[in-house]
Amino acid sequence: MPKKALIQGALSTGVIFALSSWMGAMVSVLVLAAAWAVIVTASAAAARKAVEYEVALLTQRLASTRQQAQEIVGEYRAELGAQFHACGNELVQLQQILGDAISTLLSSFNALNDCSATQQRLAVSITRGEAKPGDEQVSVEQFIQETSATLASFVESTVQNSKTAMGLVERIDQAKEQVQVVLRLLREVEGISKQTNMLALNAAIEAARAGEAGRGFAVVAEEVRVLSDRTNQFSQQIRSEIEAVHGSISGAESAINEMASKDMNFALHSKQRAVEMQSGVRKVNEGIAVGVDELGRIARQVEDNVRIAVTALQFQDVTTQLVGHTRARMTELESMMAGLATLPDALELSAGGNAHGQAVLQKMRERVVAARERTSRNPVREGQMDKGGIELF
Amino acid sequence: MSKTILAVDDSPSIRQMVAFTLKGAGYNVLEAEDGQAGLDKAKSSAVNLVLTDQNMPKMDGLTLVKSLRVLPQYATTPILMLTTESSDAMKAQGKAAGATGWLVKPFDPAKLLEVVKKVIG
Repeated sequence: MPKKALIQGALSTGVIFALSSWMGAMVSVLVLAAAWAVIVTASAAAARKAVEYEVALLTQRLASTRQQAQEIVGEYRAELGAQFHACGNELVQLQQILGDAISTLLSSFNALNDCSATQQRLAVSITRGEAKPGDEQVSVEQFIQETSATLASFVESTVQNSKTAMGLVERIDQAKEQVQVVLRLLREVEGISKQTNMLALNAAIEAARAGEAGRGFAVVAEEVRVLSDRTNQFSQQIRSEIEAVHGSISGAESAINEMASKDMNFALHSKQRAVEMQSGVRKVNEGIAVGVDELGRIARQVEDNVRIAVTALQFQDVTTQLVGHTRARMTELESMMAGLATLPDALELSAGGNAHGQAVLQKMRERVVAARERTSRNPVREGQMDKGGIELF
Repeated sequence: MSKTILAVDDSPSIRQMVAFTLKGAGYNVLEAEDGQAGLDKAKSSAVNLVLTDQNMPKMDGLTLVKSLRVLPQYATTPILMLTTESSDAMKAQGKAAGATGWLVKPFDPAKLLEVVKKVIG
């Protein structure tokens, strides 16, 4: 160590000079002082050299640390940047998948709704048996009504026929009575003819008694008898014809009676059937009315569900906005990472009092605030899907 | 003559649903995918009601409202906002810009029809 050697030399020199003389002591004090100054200067120089050595070492370490920091920050920046970028891409993918799916769902929904509406219309029109304009189609109801009307008019007509038949039978009875009258008259005629015959016989007898004078009278009596016979013959003929007529009339009468009674039974039976069928139709109509009501109710339910679905399907737009907001956050993160990468250099410069370095650090602080502000407003709030208010200004 | 409604929204599904709801009630519906396209369509066709989103590219809803109100033919036409935004601040901005009403998404089709009927019949 040079220090020790110098001190030893100085001390021995001082002892020699102090022993020699008082003047020499003064000089020696001066020399001592000078020597001490030299020592101090020398040790200061040595200290400075030591400090310089330490500084050089620290600077070396600092440089190495800075380099490592820069490397690591650079690696983090690269990796995080890649990750954020990938996140952004995946969010875009998500938006696309949602968008496509919703578009398909909506078209499908519209089609379903149209089908349901068409089904409803068709079902109602079929159950009511409504004829389409321009069609020859006849509804069941129409058919039954017309058939009933036709039957009723048939029954009415049959009843009328029966009445007519009764009238006919009455007239036939009248005719039969008249026939009886004629027969009675014929009997009178026959009676008269018999008596005439008797008279003629008597006249002939008297004529024979009168002899020659009664011969003319006998001829007349004979003619009268012949006439009376002819009258009788005619009367017999008329009688048999009248009896034949009577037979025909009776036959007609029983045929009419038979026909009238058969028609009446058939008409009454048909009327009964018609009443039963109408009651059956009424029941069917009631059933149809209930069915139509039910169909209407179901159609309204479908409408309600479509309304609910249309409201819910809007989630795609809401999620798209939410995803957009998340992507904005990631853009800020990427930019903040980029800023962080400049930190090591900025710190070094700023430590050296460099204005540019200070500015960079300030910028980094400002960037944090800016990022927070830019992502502070989420266009979608909590419970967005639960309510959609309406306000007219 | 059926009335014409202009639906402006960058989401195709929202445009589809609005068109489905309004066409079903007999209105004629025109569509635009952003504020600028909406403004162009409004200038080239006569429209009885405008229904617009707020957050859109190229031109947002409030800007569209302001641009429409400057045109003489749209000074009093009903303009309804249809958006996810629901803050009182935004609504006040809407009212100041000249909007007739504010509807928050998601919309109930029955209620949308009610408001449209009330506003243009």
